[in-house]
Amino acid sequence: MSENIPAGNRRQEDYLKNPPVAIVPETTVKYSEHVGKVGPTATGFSDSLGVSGCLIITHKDKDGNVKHSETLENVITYTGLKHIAMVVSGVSILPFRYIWLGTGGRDPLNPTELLPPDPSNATLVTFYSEGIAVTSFVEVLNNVDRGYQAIARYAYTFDFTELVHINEACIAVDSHAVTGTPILNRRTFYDRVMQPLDFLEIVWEISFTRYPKDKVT
Amino acid sequence: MPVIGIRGELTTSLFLPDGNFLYSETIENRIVNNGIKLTTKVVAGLDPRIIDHIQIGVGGQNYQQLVDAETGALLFDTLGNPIMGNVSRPIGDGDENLFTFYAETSEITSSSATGTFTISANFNIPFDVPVNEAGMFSGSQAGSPMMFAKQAFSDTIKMWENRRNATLSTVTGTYIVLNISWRIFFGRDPQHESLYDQDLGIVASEATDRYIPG
Repeated sequence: MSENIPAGNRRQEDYLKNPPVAIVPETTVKYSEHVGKVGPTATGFSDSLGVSGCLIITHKDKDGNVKHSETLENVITYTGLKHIAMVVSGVSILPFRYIWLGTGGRDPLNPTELLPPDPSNATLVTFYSEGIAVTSFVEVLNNVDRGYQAIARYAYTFDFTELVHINEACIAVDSHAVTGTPILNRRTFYDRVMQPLDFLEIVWEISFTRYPKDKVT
Repeated sequence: MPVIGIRGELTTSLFLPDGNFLYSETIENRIVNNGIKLTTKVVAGLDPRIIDHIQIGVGGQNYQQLVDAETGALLFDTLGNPIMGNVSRPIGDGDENLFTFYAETSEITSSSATGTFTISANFNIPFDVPVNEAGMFSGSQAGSPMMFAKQAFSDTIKMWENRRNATLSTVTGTYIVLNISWRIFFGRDPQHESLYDQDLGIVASEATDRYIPG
């Protein structure tokens, strides 16, 4: 192909020519292949779910006027994964309840850039404030591609009494004052310059859904 | 987009009462809709239940005419008679119970390592009972628990007979022990990262950050 193709498109071409096929080891059997079979089966799994998060930030002034609103994806952390396993199995009885805000989302070596969230993040870089979220549950019974989808929605509105630049957030099990509190996810974003009496509404949706190509037909 | 996967597999192992190993097979499970719902609610603190029961059942297979795995065509022998056999029943996303309940236990060992949780339980199965399905539940059957995951597998009579004919001549006792060890993995998943990227029409990034705990 032409060398003039932008890098992203060139990668797309390569991908289409050589799609990743060696995904599942040969010794595994997909669920759909097992149905109808008799006798022993090999180790493997294809039935799986996806977890993702969507953060909606709305900045309002003291009169409730919306100054800014944006919707962002997040990164689910390793500590979050571990804690999900622990609460589902009863090893821990503490769910994720808190939303934390922070001011350490910028790269200190290059302050014009954000520090991208990483799965290994275990806390915010610079904690600023926290609140116990109002949680609710929503289910989508017939998502077009994925069938069933379950969503946990976290909401909290922060108010401010001083000028502060907020640029990172996460969902956590407990208060930041509790050492080693696991966080579920993290997101950095460009500064929300909060003036005294401003509000920052955080709505965070954690979605559990099937992968679209794993449904048994 | 970072993609997190939850998936599970179970290992069914058969032992004689004296502990002699007979047979084992491992198969992925099906996490049903109620399992997704329960996980979501538990994570958000909206439901206090946990996965603490394993049920077993005898309705996981149908005795029916077999089909060609490649073509789907019904199979006949050389005389034209249908070739019959036990066939695992498909698990539906909306399933809320086992096909045919037989027994349950809360006497499970539960552990949670880095992003993996495992529960394991033993059942004493009479020789003539064909246990061939299992499910993970959030409580006792009497309390209408939520089913997290389910799977059908080779029935215990078949497992037992195959093994007995192969290596064992005399066995005393009236039951065999079925151990079910169920593992649920929470991790980053390059396999599905690529699937997502295909769906989004963008190029798959290097899937090097795989996180398979435990």
